[in-house]
Amino acid sequence: MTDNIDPDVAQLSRDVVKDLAPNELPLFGAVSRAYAKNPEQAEKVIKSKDEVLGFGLEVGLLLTPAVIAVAEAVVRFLGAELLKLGEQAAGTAVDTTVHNVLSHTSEAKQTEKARAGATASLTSAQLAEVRKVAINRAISLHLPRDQAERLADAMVARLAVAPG
Amino acid sequence: MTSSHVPLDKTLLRPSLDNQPKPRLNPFAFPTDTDFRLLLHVAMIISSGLFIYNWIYLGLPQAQSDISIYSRCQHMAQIAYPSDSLASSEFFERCRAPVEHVKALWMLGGVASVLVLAVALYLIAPPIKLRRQGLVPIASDDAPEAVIELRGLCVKAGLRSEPRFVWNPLNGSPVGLAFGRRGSYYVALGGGLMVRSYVDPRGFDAVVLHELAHLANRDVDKTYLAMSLWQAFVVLALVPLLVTIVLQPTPGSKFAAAGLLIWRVAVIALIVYLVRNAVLRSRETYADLRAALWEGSSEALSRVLGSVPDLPNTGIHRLLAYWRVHPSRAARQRALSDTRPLFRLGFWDALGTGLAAGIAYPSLVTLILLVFTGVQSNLWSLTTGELAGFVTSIALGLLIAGVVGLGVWRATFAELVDGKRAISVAALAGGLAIGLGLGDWIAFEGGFNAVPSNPGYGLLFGAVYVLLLGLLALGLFGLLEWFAKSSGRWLWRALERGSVPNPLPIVLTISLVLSLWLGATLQARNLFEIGASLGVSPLLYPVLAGAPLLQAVFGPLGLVALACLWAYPLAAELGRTSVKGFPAWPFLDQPADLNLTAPPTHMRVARLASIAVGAAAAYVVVITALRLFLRMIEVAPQMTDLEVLLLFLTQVGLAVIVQGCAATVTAVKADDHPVAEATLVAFWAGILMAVEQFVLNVAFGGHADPRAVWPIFSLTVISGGILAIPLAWLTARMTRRPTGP
Repeated sequence: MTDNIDPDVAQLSRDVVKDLAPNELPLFGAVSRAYAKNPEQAEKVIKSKDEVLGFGLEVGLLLTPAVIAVAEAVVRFLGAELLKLGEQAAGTAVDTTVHNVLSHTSEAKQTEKARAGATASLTSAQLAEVRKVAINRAISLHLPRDQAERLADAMVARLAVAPG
Repeated sequence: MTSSHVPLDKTLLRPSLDNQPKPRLNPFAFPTDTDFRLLLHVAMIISSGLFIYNWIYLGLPQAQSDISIYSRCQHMAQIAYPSDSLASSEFFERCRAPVEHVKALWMLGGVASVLVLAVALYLIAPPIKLRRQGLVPIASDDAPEAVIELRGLCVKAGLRSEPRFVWNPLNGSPVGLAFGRRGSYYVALGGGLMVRSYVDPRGFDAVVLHELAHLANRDVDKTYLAMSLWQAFVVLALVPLLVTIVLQPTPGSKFAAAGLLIWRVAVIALIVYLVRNAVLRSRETYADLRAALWEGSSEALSRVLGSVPDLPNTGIHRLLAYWRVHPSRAARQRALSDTRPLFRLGFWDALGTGLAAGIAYPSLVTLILLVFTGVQSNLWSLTTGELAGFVTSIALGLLIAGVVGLGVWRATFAELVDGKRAISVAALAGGLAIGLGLGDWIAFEGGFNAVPSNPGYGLLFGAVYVLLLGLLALGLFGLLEWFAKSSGRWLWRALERGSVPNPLPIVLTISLVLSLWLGATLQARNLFEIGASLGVSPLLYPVLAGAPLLQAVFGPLGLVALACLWAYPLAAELGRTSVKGFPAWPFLDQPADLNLTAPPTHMRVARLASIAVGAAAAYVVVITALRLFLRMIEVAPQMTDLEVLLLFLTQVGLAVIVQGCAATVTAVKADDHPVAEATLVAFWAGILMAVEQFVLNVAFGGHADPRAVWPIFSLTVISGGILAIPLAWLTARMTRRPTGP
């Protein structure tokens, strides 16, 4: 257990939350810290139904935990994929590459990456795979199909920005 | 709430102008439905628990040795008193008493264990919930603005001590939940709700205030106690009961036990569960109202409620509503603008109460009989069995008074303000009577009720049974009608004094009167059921049913109940004080307009007393003339026992006739409460006439026998008082006066 989630996961999920549920951004820090403390428990909470008592609103969803969980799966997939392709030799380098893939999509890092000239991008086939991974993970969290697809699309959109 | 200054004297408050929104009545001035329903829930669990543990006892090895003790005691009793069945029976009672006491202790212990487990579950529920749901305190770093807002809301709610706000940031639900135990409360906020604090602050406030309102309304403990009771009941009562059925030695006994118990278990479990859910539902509306009051507007809350998913209010969904732990969205929104539905009580509430009482009655009687086995009682000439019935009736009278009586009390307040009936007393009386009748058969003991196998006898049995229920319903109708009318006087007095009415004397009064009526009718039903099961001739059914009725009515409790009929409305007249200005407690809003009508007239006690004294004076003349006449014809000094009895009955009969005349005269002149005034006159005149009878008897050479005091007094006062009721009612109807107390 750690206090914070992986920075790459945090970056990707924050960007997606910003797109899909900007209202949740003020709570992103608290949610991601809670997620990092116990991811297994987090998954249970995301899947669980609401308490029967309470105010009476029986449905509702905070998207952020699900986004983090899906981003985690996507980042894991990307790492494995890049390793498989043999583009980099060592695990640490793969991490860097994943970071590159993510950071070139982040507006804040655009200038820095452009200056460094280090770019990495995903092929259409890889993006399609990413979408599939994201949808599957979202559905495994009991998200409705349409919401899972929207989440996956937002994630792919973040990863799909072509290198400069 | 409001505190304007509209003069109240000689007027009745009635906010009107039909085309304007009515000001909301203040439900917080009265005990809530949550309290009523929790009371029912507890009563159901205790009574069902008593039977279940009685049944479980029968399956214990101890029960087998008890049977041999019974046989030995019976044998010894026959040997000790071969020709005296009464002494033999008393010996048998004393002999088996230790066994029955152990059984009673076992039953009480079983119920106590259910209650102890319920309390334990209630106490450990908060830490379990915190851990299971991963709830942690909301830190300032997590959502600084929300934390500041939460503190502000606690100040707005005026809570003495702030609850601890907790959340699980991963839980996306848009809800709050107040929970905890006395002295240690929490409000859990869903992550979705915290998001609302940024995008819809007023909606966030509305939901949080609703949760804080649960704390202010003190319903959190009731809620979690209700839930714990249900859980404990399932674990320590229903499950062991089912185990005893499974463990029956033979398939035949398994089948018999299942046939006897399974459907009853299912029905009772269903009722307990539905009552539990009713507890949970009723609190929500009160919390909504309190939250809207704090907020000063119900707009935000109503908007948030608009996002609550709702089921259609038709067909099966109407039934499913009883299964839910929240009222429908529409009902909650309606209650925000009109609180009058909270002042109504209907057939189903009464039926539920009647069922709870009906199911509880046999178990409680059994318990008391077991506890007092071997104890010979001679209180008021009642047997232990009769006393057990009356003690149980007092408990059930309190239960019914707490639920239906207080419901009528609240509805009377709405009627006083709106000028129209908020409830149907006939529906309530019918619901109670049907519930009490059904409860007798649904109760586990109902499995041992015997119906005559002969179709003709069975038909007669059914007819007497239904007749008794009809009589029960009729009496309940009269009592509730009387109570509603008399309560109007008390509530009017509360308006005059500007103080919130205290319900305790009300509950005690109605429970006392109800206890007597329930005691008499249920005792009658039991006796006739026992007679039927013992094969007594059906011709004796009416006698078996009628004897306990007469015994109860003409006993000390009958006298007290009769006195309540006039003392309760009369007491409202005492200590009259009128406060200038409009009282603050009746409404949640400032009434736009007051359409004022005349209040109920006061009871003119001096006039009533003079009628009673006049009647007694007339009576003493008549009775003196009678005694002088008897002396002249020289009958009195050498009267036989029969003649003494005839003279006694004649004197009582004349007294009753004079009381009836006085009651009729009173009712003709009475304004708002003919029955109460007529009963008062008959009662007071009856007391005077009883004294006159006694004194004249001594004066004409009779003995001053103290044993004669009670028969003279009870027969005269009670007979006249009872006769006064229908006479006053009829007189009031014929002279087109309102038929009130």
